Amino acid sequence: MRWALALIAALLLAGGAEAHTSIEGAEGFFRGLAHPVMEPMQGVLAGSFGLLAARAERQAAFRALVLAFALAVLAALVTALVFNAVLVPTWVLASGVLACGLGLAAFRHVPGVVPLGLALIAGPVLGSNAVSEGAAGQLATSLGSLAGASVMAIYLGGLGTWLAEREARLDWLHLAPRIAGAWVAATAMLVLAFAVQGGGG
Amino acid sequence: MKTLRDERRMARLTLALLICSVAAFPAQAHEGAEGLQGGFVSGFTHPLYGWDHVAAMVAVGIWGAFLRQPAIWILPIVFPLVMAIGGALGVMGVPLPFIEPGIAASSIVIGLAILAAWRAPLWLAGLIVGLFAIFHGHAHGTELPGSANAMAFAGGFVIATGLLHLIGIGFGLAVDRPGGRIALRGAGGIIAALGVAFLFGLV
Repeated sequence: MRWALALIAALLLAGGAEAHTSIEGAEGFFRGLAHPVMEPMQGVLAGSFGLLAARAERQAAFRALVLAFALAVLAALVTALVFNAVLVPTWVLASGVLACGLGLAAFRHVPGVVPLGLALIAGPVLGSNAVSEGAAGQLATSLGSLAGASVMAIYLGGLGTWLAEREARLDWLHLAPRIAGAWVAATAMLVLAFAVQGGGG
Repeated sequence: MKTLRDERRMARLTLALLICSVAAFPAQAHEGAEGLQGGFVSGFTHPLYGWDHVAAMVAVGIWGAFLRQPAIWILPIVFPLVMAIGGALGVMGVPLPFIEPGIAASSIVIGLAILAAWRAPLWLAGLIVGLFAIFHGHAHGTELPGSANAMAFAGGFVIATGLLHLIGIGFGLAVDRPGGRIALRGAGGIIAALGVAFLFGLV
């Protein structure tokens, strides 16, 4: 019954897709918000980090780890904006994804230092890659990228936490993030190979 | 009050929805390897176009189910990683000998292992599967279109391979059902026979 009511509410509240926002300058923010989806490597990096953070040995560490990740992304964005830094190359981003994927596949419960270390590496990598080119709306787009990456990490981390809470009853649930991590790492390896070869758009 | 049965039902429903959402792709009027969508679709369908690949991937899943814990979950974790190593070698143009015979042999060996209900030690099963994963990955890597979006293609390709494993595991779970063991061993024989056909170019 609750699901049916939620579905009806969602359908009634849906509005038309609009090409332009009424808030001046907000388009850049929304563009940045969608960046982790439009640039899948960024989304996969943020999402796999969120899943990895959810596997921390102490579940209470999850919030601190996601916060550390968001702050690292912010620091990189600010640095890149201030110093007009060059975008991080694809192979660096792919390496970050590979590290997160391998960590997810290898550990059922991750020592906290592993995701913390990855937050301090992957966060700046993602932040440096998320800076938009061009001066117009750079700040808004970059803040949108920060929000998008953080949302991706939080939601996927939330999914990981939900799975972890149910493992006491359904032990096989621990396999889902591990298999996802293996797939993520395998994808990153192929992207790395493409990057080294100099191809693959 | 939620019971264990409710929890399991929710977990199965969630898993089914997840698999459906991963397996679904948008309807599109134009085909092509370029772009995000085209790259993903191209990568996803790539392992499905070769019956020798499909047979071997499903066989790995079935054999993993036969071997039970922990092989049933180690193989779907390890295989994509090792296959990606082979794929990376193929993308970078590193030559490997006997690729096509190796791919055919994978169906023969793993099919026979299922037919014989061979419960190999985990390290040996991992070695066999890993070796053949290199061949499969290398073959895919050399065939990848240069215009493809790398991330999208690789993601689609890995997901399709993983889903084939999961299908094999799904079949393999029938080993505990009446007649399931015999049916699966028969399927192993068929996979091995297909491997022979692939090896001699009969299919």
